[in-house]
Amino acid sequence: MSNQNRDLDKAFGQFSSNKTQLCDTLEPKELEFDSQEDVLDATQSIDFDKGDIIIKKSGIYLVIAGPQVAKLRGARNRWIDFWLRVNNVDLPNSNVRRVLTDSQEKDVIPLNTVCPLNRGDTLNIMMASETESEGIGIEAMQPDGEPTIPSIILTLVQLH
Amino acid sequence: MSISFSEKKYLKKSLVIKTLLVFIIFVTITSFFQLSFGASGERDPSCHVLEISENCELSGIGHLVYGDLTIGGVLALLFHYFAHKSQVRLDKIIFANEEQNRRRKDFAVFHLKSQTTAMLFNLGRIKKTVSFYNSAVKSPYQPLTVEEKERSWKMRTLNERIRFEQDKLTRLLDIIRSTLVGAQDVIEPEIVGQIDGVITFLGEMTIEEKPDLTMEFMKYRISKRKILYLLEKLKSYSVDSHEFKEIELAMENELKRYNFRNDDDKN
Repeated sequence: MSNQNRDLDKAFGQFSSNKTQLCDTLEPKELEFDSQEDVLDATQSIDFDKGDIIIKKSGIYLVIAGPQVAKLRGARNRWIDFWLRVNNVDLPNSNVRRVLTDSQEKDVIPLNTVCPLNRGDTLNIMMASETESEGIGIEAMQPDGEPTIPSIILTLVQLH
Repeated sequence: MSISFSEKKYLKKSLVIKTLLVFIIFVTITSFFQLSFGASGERDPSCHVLEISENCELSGIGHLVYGDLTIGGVLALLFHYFAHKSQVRLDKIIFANEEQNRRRKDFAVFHLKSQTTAMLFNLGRIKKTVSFYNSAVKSPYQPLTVEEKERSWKMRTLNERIRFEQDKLTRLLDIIRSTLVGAQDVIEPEIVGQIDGVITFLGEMTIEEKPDLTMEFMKYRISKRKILYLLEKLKSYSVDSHEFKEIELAMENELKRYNFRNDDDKN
């Protein structure tokens, strides 16, 4: 079936970032995206502008984000939090935390939620850490002979 | 719903006629029933079972037909008449209520549309004023000269203008919020949610001052896009059907082109 003939009545989208983003302030920071998987007509139903994911179809959405956390310096335990923000307001009960000790630690923190979103709503993935001087954040990597490891992968699926 | 004096007079007259009519029917029927219930058991075998005459006593079946069944029929007719009357009245009330809701919805959508357009205009003014302010900050000047005085004056007045426009935006948001609260029972929940999202987003929007004294209107493009989405939805409202039309995603590209064409700078 060609893309033109396929009837996509549910919105979906996959976004990622190939840029390392570190917490350089103690204030919450918006994670930015730089690519959207061009899956059929997905670009017509969800869009993005830097860190803002823009919903074009109203509905109930499943949001799954996987930030690749890392720490560049230091050997003390430091926490890093990730949560969702809808229309510039933090989404309750969406926060997740990981504690990092040294620069060898790499991990993906799953962040998932189901929330109603309306046309025009903006969704942001927020990040905050305990310190701004130890290079804590999300890291993109380029292993030899493998696909790029993005600093974050975000998937949105309209459920209803 | 108010009732005029002439209507009241007419209603009173009609009520008197109806009462008289019911009274006459009641008297006639009860007289007839008195006759039928007055029947005794002794009767002439030559009389018909339903015969009513001076020489014939009313039979048991006659009792049933003339008495119970007729009373039942008359009462059924009477109750049906009353039920019909009250149903007609209820229908009128429901129709009037629906009509009022439709008028409220029309007004709310019209009001929201004009306020949203005003908000879009206001955002544009803030953006432009911030741009003028930044130009004033960056303009070259020599200390203790007329240039410096003019630059300071521009910065001060433009800063005041930005604050003024921000206050205006806050007022517009309050107006939209109160309109929404007043009309949330007549507007579709999806639209209410969308408007609420725009209000929430714009309410949290900030103008950041940078270390070099310039200002940045954070997320202007997104704000504008959200308002355009909302306007597009509000414009799809039809006063004939009192419904919002479905927005096709194909319109998206057109909207995008419009959006970018009107953006002077892309943040």
